[in-house]
Amino acid sequence: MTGILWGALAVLGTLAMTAFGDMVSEEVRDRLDHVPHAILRYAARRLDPDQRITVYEEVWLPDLAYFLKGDEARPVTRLIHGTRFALGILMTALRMSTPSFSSYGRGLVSSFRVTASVAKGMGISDQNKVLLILDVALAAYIIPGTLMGAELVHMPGNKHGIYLPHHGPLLAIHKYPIRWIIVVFLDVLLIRIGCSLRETVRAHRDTARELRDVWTGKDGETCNCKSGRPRSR
Amino acid sequence: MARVIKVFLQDPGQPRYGFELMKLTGMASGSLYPMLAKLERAGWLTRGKEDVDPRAVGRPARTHYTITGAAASAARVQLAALSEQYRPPASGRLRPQGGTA
Repeated sequence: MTGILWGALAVLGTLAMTAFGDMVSEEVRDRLDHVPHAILRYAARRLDPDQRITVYEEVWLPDLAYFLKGDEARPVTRLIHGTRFALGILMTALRMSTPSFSSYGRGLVSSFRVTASVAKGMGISDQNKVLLILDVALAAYIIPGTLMGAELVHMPGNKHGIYLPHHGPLLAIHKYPIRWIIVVFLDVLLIRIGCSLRETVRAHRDTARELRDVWTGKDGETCNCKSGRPRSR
Repeated sequence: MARVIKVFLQDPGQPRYGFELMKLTGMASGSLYPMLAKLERAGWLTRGKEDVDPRAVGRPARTHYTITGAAASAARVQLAALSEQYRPPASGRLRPQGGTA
């Protein structure tokens, strides 16, 4: 009697475990399917609001749905392909929404002019120049950190500035308003220089890729000599 | 970009989808979609909607792209000019690959 009872329990246990395994598998599959969509939504957040509708809802999302539907029977392939599709878009979403290189250049020139005129009007001493460099370095560190969500620590007795040991508040806005203005301008300048360099590198890379495409046909004809000219037939 | 244009020029009246272009050109999504957006902004491509019932197929209708007539003509001229520009000189003596003669 006890044997029959144990046997029945074992069968029930096996059935329960199988059902539980299927449920977990279904749950994991369902959640993994959301990964490419989540990445794509994150990429869409980096676009302008009007672009978000025309690009995300009308182009990316239907293509991802079609992309995933083609791999419907293979969950791992679907996950890998879908994630790669979404990550590729995420990496370049910012490039689609950022202004052109020429507008960065114009902004760079205007920033130089404003910063130069402010610095000239101040007549900065050597000691202040050192502090100014420290401030710029600090601001260059703080602003990206703040943008990334890092929290600044508020030190007691220093409500408006960033406290450094042995130096006191370097960025006390109520004491050094003009320095703050310069810091902000220089930081914008640094960011613009970084963006311009990035755009330049990308432009060169794209041009190089396009030239390579011209030289390298799809039929496998490749460049064959050191000078970079295509193989002669 | 030459690869994408080449696909459109194979049959200028044929609408092309993003997924199809990825397969035909071998390009990644991150390169292809910005390029399509750029070509569309430049007036080289027009956008249309896939003629399907989303409820019937279980997914939203995709966007397809078609090259405009003017763009097709301009692209042919540009590609021909590019090809001409990079053609090896005819006066040079050609040798077989790996040959010494």
